[in-house]
Amino acid sequence: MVAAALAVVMLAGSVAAEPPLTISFWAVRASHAPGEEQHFDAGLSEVVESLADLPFNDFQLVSSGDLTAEFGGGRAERELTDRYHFFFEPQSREAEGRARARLCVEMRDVQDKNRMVKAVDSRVVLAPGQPMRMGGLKLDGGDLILIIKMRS
Amino acid sequence: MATEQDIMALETWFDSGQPMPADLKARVSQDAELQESLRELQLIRDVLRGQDTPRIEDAQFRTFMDGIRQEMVPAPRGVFARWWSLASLAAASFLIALSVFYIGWGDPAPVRATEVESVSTELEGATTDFYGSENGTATIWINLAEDDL
Repeated sequence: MVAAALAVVMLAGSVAAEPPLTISFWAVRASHAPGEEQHFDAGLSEVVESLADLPFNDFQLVSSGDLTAEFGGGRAERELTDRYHFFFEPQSREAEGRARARLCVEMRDVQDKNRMVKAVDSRVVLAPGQPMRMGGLKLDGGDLILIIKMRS
Repeated sequence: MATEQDIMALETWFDSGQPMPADLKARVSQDAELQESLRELQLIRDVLRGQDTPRIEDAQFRTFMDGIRQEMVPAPRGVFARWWSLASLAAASFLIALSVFYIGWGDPAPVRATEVESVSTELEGATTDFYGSENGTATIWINLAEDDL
């Protein structure tokens, strides 16, 4: 009887509205510095493993934080630098705690400063605690690396 | 010889408890068959009177009925028996729920990593690439054209 009640509660919980999705992000300027040893800013300690295999040896934290948005139309966004803008849109909850989301980095047009161009527009399935990264965009003589990690 | 009417008249008189009418007495005295019938009736009555039939007195009646009720209505079960039944029911429900979950969910799947489903860019001449690195980090990489650098 108790088990049956628990099953009903669990089923009801799965039908209930999804809680919003929270991600953490780290925008990093990666570059080549004199010397062989890699250097990471103190604020990058949580994501060093996701950066260490990249062909750079100097990693400076540009911006970081948490973003939370609702599923089904929600959006959260943040200016990474004066040139790059990041937003994400949760789309659906998936099995094993994962979440499908749209992740997008916009870049201000060089000629038309009021125009934003989608430099990266991606659909990903995020797994809790497992980071992903975007790279290749240029930033102040180095590369912009964006690390994203799903929180809940 | 006694007729059927004579026998019926004799039995009616016998059950009435009144003195025997003179005409019936005369017929009985003259008919051996009626005399035999009278003796049988008397014998039956004597046998019935002689039986030791148990009798329930008024004072005993309530006790007698209580005994009947005790046999007809099962006695309430003890607290232990009730809890034991509930525990059995709960255990059975738990096993059923566990079975349903096992069937519905199947074997635990391996932990799956972050996956990139699609990538696009509006940057002219740029190409996109995505892959999983050796450390398990899903990676999206933009390869810019010379004009975008």
